[in-house]
Amino acid sequence: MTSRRTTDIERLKREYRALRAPEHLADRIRVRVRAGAGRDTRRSAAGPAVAALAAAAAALLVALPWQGAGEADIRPTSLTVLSLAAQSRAGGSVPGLSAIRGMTLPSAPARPANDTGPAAPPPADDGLEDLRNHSRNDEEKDHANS
Amino acid sequence: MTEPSDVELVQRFRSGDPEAFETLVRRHQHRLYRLASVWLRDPRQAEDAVQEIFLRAWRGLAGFRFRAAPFTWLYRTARHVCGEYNRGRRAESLEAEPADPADGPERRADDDEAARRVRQLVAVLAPRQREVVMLRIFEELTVAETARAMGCRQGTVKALLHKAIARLRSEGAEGLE
Repeated sequence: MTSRRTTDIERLKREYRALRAPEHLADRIRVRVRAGAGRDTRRSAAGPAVAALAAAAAALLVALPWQGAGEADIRPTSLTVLSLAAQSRAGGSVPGLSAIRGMTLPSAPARPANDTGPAAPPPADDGLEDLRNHSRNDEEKDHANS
Repeated sequence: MTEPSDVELVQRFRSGDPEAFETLVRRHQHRLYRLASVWLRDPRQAEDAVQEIFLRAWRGLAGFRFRAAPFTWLYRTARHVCGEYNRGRRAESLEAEPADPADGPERRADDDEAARRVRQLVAVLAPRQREVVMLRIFEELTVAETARAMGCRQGTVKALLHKAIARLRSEGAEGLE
């Protein structure tokens, strides 16, 4: 016959609750967290050095020839450069902007008096008119049915 | 003068008062140590675990958003840390420290015995039942506190406790209400 072992929970609970963390544990934790905080402090001590480095980089950027974003957009295309180079090679110097402004275009030949110019092209059949008529008819049918 | 609440201590700690953190350590270290002694088999490892819990708290409480009670946060961290230790992932990474001379082998043996007997008692239970017995019966938390710590409803705590007590009685436990 097997005897069932009994456990007095209240007694076991008292024993269990008498368990205490060792005295030195709180000190050990304090030392560890303070050491961790020291590491954090050392990390933050590097802050001024990083800031000085960033300031130096910023000063360097300012010292470089400044170019705004807009300027990059009006940079001459390769085609412009090629045509200017060809013109330069042909012997002529590249005309400046004021020289271009001063240029005059040759006048166009006079048009005969009865010439009305080319006839206007017929309106393209894009089907819109059909669609409009169709919708109108449908509306009329709906009114008639209602 | 009334003791500051855990929430007040965390607020003070966050505003740069390290003494507040030390008060939190003194307040919760024994409970966390007891739980760790049951979850882990070695009192020495339980000490390491408690230290790790508070180290994580030191780093983590800065971002604490007060959506849970500070003890709930500590308890969940404890569960996590002990889980890691039990999986043996961190066992080797801990630095060996000299034992405190005041912490004699007899005391260790007594501690170990109590924790071992509790561990043996709850071993027959399912993990959630085990947790509820540890918190509600052995740590004497209220049903609401237990529910918060476990992240479940109070009804779930009562149901788990009911089943756990029935099982423990069938195993010969006496003195359970």
